[in-house]
Amino acid sequence: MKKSTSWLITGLVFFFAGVIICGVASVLMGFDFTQMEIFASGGFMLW
Amino acid sequence: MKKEAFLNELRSRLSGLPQSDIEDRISFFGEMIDGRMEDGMSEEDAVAGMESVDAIVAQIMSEIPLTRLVQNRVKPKKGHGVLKIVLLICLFPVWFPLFVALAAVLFSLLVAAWAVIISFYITAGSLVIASLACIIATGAYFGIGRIIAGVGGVGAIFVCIGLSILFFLLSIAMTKGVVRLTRKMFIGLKKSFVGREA
Repeated sequence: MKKSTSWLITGLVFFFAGVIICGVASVLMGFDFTQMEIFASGGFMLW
Repeated sequence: MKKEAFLNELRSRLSGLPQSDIEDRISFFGEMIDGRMEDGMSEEDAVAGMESVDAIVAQIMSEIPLTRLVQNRVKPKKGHGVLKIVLLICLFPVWFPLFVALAAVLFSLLVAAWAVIISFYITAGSLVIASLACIIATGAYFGIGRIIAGVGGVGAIFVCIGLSILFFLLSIAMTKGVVRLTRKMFIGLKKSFVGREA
């Protein structure tokens, strides 16, 4: 496997693992994902 | 294709280069074909085994400096020198602004491309810093007993590291692309100085 491909896979794995962990933590903290404000604030934080 | 036809094709594609360069190249490739024929290949096979004329011209273009091509191009030829100089001076108000505008457009495109690339590198760097900040924040959350928020922090660390890797990869790919594009632009510019005087 090319070095860049393995880095790409590593990056994607880290990113999606992080998203899942954040999602689980958010659910445990009691976030209501039906509230669109959460996505707006998430987008703002990312920005 | 016969050796003579191959070399004539190459010569016509290289016209515009300094004559000494053309002769050097033609004799080099002629000797290469002769060497193959001495090894027992037929003339057609020896020529077929060579790189294409396009590939050879591109290779030569990348080796010869642009200044040398321009110097050779603007060198006055016998009989036309005075006329060319008069035309150049008379048409100066037309060709000079066009030349400057074209150069400015190409330069601004390159600057814009590099600005985007640099901003991607900076974004990747800032994500690395953000992941370090997340590590500190996560440690603090776990320290004060807010376990769930700490888990969220771990997720944020992963997201920041993942995004920084992806941004670095994207930046490297874009850098390579722009370098390749710049090289192609230069070779294209050099090619515009040769191959018209067959």
